Amino acid sequence: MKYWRHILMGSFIWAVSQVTFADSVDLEVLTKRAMLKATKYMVEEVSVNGGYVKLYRPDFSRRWGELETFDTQIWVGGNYPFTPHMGDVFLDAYQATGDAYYYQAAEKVARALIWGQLESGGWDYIIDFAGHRSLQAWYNTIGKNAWGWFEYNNYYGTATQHSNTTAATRFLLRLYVEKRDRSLKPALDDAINFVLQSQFPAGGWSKRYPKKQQYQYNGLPDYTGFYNFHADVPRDNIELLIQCYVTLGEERFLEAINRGMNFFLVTQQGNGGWAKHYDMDLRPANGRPFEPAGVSPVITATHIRLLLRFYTYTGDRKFLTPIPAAIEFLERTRLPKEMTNGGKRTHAGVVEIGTEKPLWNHRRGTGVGDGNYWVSDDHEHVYAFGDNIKINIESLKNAYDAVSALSPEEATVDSPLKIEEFNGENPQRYGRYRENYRYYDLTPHDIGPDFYPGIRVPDEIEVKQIVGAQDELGRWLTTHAQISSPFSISETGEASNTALHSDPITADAILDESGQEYLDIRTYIRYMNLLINYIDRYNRERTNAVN
Amino acid sequence: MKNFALLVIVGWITVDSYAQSQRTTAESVTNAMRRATQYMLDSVSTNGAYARLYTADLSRRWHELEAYKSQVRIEEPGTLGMGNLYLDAYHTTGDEYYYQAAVKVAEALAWGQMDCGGWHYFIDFAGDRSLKAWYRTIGKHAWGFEEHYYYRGNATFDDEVTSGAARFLLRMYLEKLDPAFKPALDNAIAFILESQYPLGGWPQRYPLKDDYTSHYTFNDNVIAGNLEFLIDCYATLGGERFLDPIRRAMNFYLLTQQGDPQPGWAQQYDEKLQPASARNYEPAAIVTGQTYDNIRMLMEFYRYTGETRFLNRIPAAIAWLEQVRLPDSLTNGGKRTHPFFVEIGTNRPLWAHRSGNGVYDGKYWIDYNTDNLYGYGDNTVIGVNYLKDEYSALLALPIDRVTQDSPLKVGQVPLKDTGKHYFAKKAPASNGKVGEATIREIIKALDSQGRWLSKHEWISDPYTVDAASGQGSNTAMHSDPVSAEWILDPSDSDYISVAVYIKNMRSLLAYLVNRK
Repeated sequence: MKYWRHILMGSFIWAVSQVTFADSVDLEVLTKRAMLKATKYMVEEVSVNGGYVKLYRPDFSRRWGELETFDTQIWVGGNYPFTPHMGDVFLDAYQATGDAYYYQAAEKVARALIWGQLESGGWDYIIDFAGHRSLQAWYNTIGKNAWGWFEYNNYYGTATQHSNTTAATRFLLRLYVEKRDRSLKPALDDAINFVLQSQFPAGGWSKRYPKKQQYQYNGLPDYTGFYNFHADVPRDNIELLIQCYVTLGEERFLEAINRGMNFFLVTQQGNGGWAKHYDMDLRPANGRPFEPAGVSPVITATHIRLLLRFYTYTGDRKFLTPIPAAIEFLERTRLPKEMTNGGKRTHAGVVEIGTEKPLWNHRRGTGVGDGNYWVSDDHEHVYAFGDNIKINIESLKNAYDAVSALSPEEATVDSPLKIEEFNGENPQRYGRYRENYRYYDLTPHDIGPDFYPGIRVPDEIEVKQIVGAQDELGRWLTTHAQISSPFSISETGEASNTALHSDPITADAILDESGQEYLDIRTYIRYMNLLINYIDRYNRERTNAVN
Repeated sequence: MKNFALLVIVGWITVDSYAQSQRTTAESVTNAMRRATQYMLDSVSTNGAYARLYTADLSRRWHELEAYKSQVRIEEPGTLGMGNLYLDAYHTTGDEYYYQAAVKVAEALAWGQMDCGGWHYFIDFAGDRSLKAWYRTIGKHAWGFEEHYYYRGNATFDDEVTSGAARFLLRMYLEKLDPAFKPALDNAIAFILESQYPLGGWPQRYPLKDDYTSHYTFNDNVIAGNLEFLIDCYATLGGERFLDPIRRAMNFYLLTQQGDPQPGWAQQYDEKLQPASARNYEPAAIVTGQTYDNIRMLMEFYRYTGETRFLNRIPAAIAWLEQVRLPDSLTNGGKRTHPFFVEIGTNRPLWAHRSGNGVYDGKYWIDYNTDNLYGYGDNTVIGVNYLKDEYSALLALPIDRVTQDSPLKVGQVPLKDTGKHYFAKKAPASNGKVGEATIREIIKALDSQGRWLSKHEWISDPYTVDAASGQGSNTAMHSDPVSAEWILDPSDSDYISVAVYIKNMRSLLAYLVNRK
């Protein structure tokens, strides 16, 4: 009898609630419901022990990190976004909604990352819950045969700094300061110590640490132990250490931060530009086979922006002094019109040391077995890595003029390194929704790639579109993904190319045109961020209204 | 709307009446488990951990010997048996109560973890001063329990104490990947790695002391237990760094097999890799029981690696075991096939004896005489045919079949076999079926307080000091002065036995598993 009444009541409430929502529920509730539904699907159906890869077939029969990946694997880094970035979204959602489910989702991310933390304290690209034996199997098959994906052709087993160790550490830091859960602290301490220990005395970092000099290509030395500017490693680590300084408050970070910033000064070449890699004598060095030693306009442009930022951190005008020569270098190496690929590029990826001649990359072949890379004068049929670079020199000049016009006091108004009383509500709660960006934001919204909407707040129409696009399972499925072919061995014993589908010459992405649907975490992250931004504004408006 | 509701109700009643017939037993099983566990947790445990045996009124308790109220036993069936059972019960029932009980076990173990990262035989929550008092009284006077005669202050690998505790923490960590367990686990792993000799073996105790406990020790699963733990780590934590210590440990079996004409193994080896003696009744000798174990381990290493070098000298070892088989006249009426100890150089059986009443007048000696044997390895039965069959079967298998279940093999692993599932597969919560009648008996045997009381347990006398001589009484577990055969309590006294609780719980779990 009791149960009978229960069921009746339950059905009644269900029916009523449907009507109510259909008619008059406000967008905030709908938005929060969509966020939770999407997140529950990610946590409970998609994640492996709390971790993620980038792309899935909806039936989970295949999945991809940067490359196709085993179902026991989650990805930490590579090109955005992976497991730590999902953790960031969960924490953002937690801070915006206060719903403990998101904190627990973030906690699961942390647990997966901590399981996969290497002895050194850092992380490699992939965490494999089946361990080293399975990882070996992956490298022996998919990794080894991914043409053009040089960093996966060989197994190192060491930590990498390619938005993975930094991202994982930053995420653990955020989660730790959220509730100061001390069970997270040993892993966080190990990670921070790794970042500090892996910094060279000169202030830079290498791609991998500890150094493991083992793989050569075309007689070039293994670049993974070199000083590395690729993938913004020093910038990310400096920002991370600043975030540590601000939230953990320890003086010991200052010295490393300062050395990190000074490294940008000592690496500027006589011609005003910077290289992507430097050998241990601080001379421009090769990177991967398609990264010849040279001076890089795009790295130079990035460094101009960073040096301006360093001035706003420190008020030290020495960080401005390299900029005029750097701008001159960019002016000088601007491509003549006939080399701009119809206006698609302003600069070559890299120019020769001394002559400043563009070094154009090319490749031919069908896979790692017969593939070849070389550099020539031919600016057609260029290999797409470092191709089509557009640098807006005017905007760099304007930024330089604006920032250098500031006095040190003016420049450092918002500096996280400035000695002053803290006026915020809680220095440890640096969510992007706290404070007002005056202090440091622990999410990388200003440096994210295209799919990352940053702080843009969508209007109600866009919110409704996003919510409406969600399917009944809470997914936002997409089509036309860049995938790869499964690993196979031919009758003649040749391994197939496991790289993501791309043009054999230009390496331009070739997308799956079949209409096959995919679950792409970039879509989840983008939509969640927009919805979070919307909820956050809603919260703030409500707070303001109350006040 | 009305019709819809009716449909739901009818459906619900059908499901419920179907379940009703089965649920009676399932519920009574889970209720019994909860009641029994609640008693163990609330009334028996000390800070979440356990000894081996208690009097029903909880006034006395034993680990290997009589224990203080502040003391708990690590090895099974003590605290580790309880912890592993709790985790298995959690897996089978999904009841968070058992996970919380396992958390308490882990917290107690973490409390008792030594600074070095390993564990002693037992934990004393009253600390060093109490432990020393125990050693001066009960430990020192436990005749025949030589490892407890005095306090060494270091950790032990004997009976897989340290590797077992470390493995339990590993299981706890893998259960939910809760990083709270990780520092203790990491310390335990670091300790086991650090204490390994470069050649691959381990001492019985570490940090090293100047006595037999520093010898390379096969006895009581010292090396095998640590090796197995490192393999567990490799399989579940995945680090490449475990491979080298694992390989060195496996190689250690090869380099300790003796040359012809006695290609067997000793239980201990000194720093020059010569067979060494240990306790008073353990002479330096080639040991048939250890040889049997190590042959099986070598076959296991072949399954791990597919490397035939691990098989090379198995035939010689088997032939040696055949050679030292006892003549019918010496088999004690078929109760033994082999001597335990075989003299180096002569292949003559060595037998242990003792005389006396306690530590003051007790004596041990070794000779060739088969009369009045001391009961350590006296009735050794070696299944030589089993070894032969296993060996031939293994040789006949194609190599990919040999290594198909190897945790060391490079290859993909199904997600469902990783992490905590690795242990569920390796050591299932229950083996075999348990009949309905047994289950009813077990449930019925649970008393009103939630206890399974038992009788005729193995106990000892309380420690006393003789006023006249000033000597302490023999605190050893009751046993025959000559043969050391166990003498169980003949009285009707009731006991609470951790082993009985675990056995009953495992039967109930088996029942639940088989119902599914």
